[in-house]
Amino acid sequence: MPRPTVVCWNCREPVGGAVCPGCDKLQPPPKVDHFALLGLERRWGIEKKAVEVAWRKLARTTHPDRFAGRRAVERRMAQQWTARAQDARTVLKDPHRRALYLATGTPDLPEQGGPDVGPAFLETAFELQMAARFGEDGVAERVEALASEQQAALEAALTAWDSGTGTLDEVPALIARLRYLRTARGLAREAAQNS
Amino acid sequence: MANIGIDLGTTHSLVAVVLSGTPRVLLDDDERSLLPSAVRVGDDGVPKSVGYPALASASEPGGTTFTSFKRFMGRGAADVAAEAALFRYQLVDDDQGMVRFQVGPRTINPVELSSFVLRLLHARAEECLFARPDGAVITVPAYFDDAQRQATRDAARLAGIPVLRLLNEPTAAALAYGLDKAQDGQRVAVYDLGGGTFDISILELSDGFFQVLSTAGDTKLGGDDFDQALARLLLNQAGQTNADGPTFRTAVRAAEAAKRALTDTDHTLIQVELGGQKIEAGLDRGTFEQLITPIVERTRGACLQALEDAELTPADIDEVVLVGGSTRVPLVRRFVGELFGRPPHAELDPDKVVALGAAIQADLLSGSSDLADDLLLVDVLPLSLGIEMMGGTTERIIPRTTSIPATASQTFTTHVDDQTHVSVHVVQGERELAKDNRSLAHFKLGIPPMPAGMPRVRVEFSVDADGILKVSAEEEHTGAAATVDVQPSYGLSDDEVEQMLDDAIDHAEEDIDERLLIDARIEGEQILHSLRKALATDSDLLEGEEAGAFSTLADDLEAALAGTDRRRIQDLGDRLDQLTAPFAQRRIERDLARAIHGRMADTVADKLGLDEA
Repeated sequence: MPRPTVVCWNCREPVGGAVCPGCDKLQPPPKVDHFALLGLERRWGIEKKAVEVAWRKLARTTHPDRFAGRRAVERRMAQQWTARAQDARTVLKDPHRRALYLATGTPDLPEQGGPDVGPAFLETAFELQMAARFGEDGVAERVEALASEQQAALEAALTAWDSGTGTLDEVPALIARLRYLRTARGLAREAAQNS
Repeated sequence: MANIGIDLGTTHSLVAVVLSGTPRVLLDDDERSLLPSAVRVGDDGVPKSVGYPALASASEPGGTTFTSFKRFMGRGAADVAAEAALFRYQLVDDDQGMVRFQVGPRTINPVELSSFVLRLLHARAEECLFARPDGAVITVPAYFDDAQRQATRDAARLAGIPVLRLLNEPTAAALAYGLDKAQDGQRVAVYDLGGGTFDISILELSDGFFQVLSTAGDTKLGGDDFDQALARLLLNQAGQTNADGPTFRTAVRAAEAAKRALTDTDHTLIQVELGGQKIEAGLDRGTFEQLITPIVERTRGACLQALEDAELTPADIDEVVLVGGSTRVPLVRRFVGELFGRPPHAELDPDKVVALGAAIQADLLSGSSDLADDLLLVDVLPLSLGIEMMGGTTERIIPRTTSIPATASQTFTTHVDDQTHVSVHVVQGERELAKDNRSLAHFKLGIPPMPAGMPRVRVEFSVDADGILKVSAEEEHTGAAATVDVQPSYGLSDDEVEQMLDDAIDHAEEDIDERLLIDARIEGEQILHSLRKALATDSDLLEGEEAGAFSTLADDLEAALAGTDRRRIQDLGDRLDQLTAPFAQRRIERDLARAIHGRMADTVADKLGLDEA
């Protein structure tokens, strides 16, 4: 992953990585996205394992323990690196958060005023939640069927985007729908346990 | 130069260092590795002794011997009142900040007490290494919260020791066992039952990465509880239910001795005098185990919690490591073996394993270790960090088990028009209500008056590799932002630390002066001694006025040695050394000539085949 050319804060040599090739000083973390920070391609289809490996590689070179004997400025940068890397790692390891991050730039749905999931879906979801709360027969199956439908649509959109076709416009709404269904699933499980 | 590893324990502390690739625990002058974490403070408020002498005088009048003060680190008076009563310590309770103990005219806090222990260990290392160590890795229980970690750092600062890293004790133990050398992806449970704290940690070691997956524990559970349970039994038998401090401590010591005896034997005899009443009682292991079973059982919940947090079952654990002197108790070993379904590691001395690991980490941090490129310790946050919301609920900002260092931020707004400030209450813990969690800090951020809901207050948490938190807050719209560094509620304010540091430095200067004086005296005496020896054998080599000049200067030096003027001793020593240099040169030349002559004579004798007459 190419980074913009910057110069070392200490010796003014051009640097491309975390550490200056000229004077071996740690550089501040670049203002790049989670993918670029970990040196990963900006796409949805990434294995958890690959994120972990990339994170380890970065942590190995930038963790504060590597700079224990250095001056405070480098130790502080090391801390920023590790914190950034940790943030990138937790977001990118979670498929839904990774998808939202690609689609909107933030890994989480807003607490209020989330994406429009459509009035028809909303009606179905509330109906399912009510049915779940009262422990109606077959409700769990209906929830699962709808969830896998939405999940399939989500994956199709993301896979298509990975291969260069389509947009991520539907992604936030699909994930919001899955969240409604997760609530219904929880209620169904609770009702089943209580009976 | 060398970095040292320090295990600052509840009942005892150790210092270790890696020498030629091997970690070693450093010994005191009497070849003991453990330094009891005990400080004797006289009724005049002056610290008298640290370690064994402090313990030995525990039941004497005229002062208080503080032990187990690690339990009080970073705690407020209200948190620890019950415990302080248990130890018969006199708390100062007028106080908002960290707990303080009253001794005679002054007060002393756990940070100061800890700093005495650290200072002594540091001095021990300096003596063993013939040089001042560069820095130290100090271990803390994985479960220590922010205030307790801060307090540990403050103690080191007070002792003048640069801290390279606070290391979680279980991580240190796994390092000491070299479990990193085993195959990838192995899970290790570290069961650490010390004197006053219990920790269970689940670690994953893979690809040179040590990651703490989860930790749980109880900062108020340990071998001390075994002793106290048995001591109460003894006191009951002696009819001493309201024992005073010294009597109570005598009972605790008798109980501790019995506990140790029962590690290797099935039966022991307790003989102790309590409040004038002689007690002689036989105790068998079975009875003792019955007494302590409820205490040992209290560790089960934390073990299961740690497994659950790591999303593992006991069968997923590959290795179990025992740490802490209390794991010598046979019942504890059986309990751990049964819980995890495998015999625990106990090859290393459970008292030393943490210090050894700390030394390894200290060596890694020096950058000169061969292992440094392959190994990295990545710890996690032991308890969630958050802030109190409207209605008293807790909003988590950084969840527990997040790898650290880490940062996270959240944006909040106001609920009332024209608020001129927002109060931020930082808490640590897993409970839903803020009041049930540990209060870390309160601070206020001034903001320009705006309608309710308008301000956007961004609170940022950042946790460093030691698990220590910094919080800053900012109002985003106006940019009229204040950044606030948080002072822990139960910590020491910077002013307090500075004051204590000033006091300590005053003493340190006295210490150093005394030390230099001793060094100067030794050197001066050596110069005098060798001059006298030389004059006795080689006075024929003296030339001109030398004899008189030497004896005048030597007399002056001898007089100076009786005084305390270090510079005069050094000065006279140097002058005498210079003045006698030509004489010394003549002596060396003559010795050399004699040696050559002697060898020639030998050679001749050899050739002639003569025996020495």
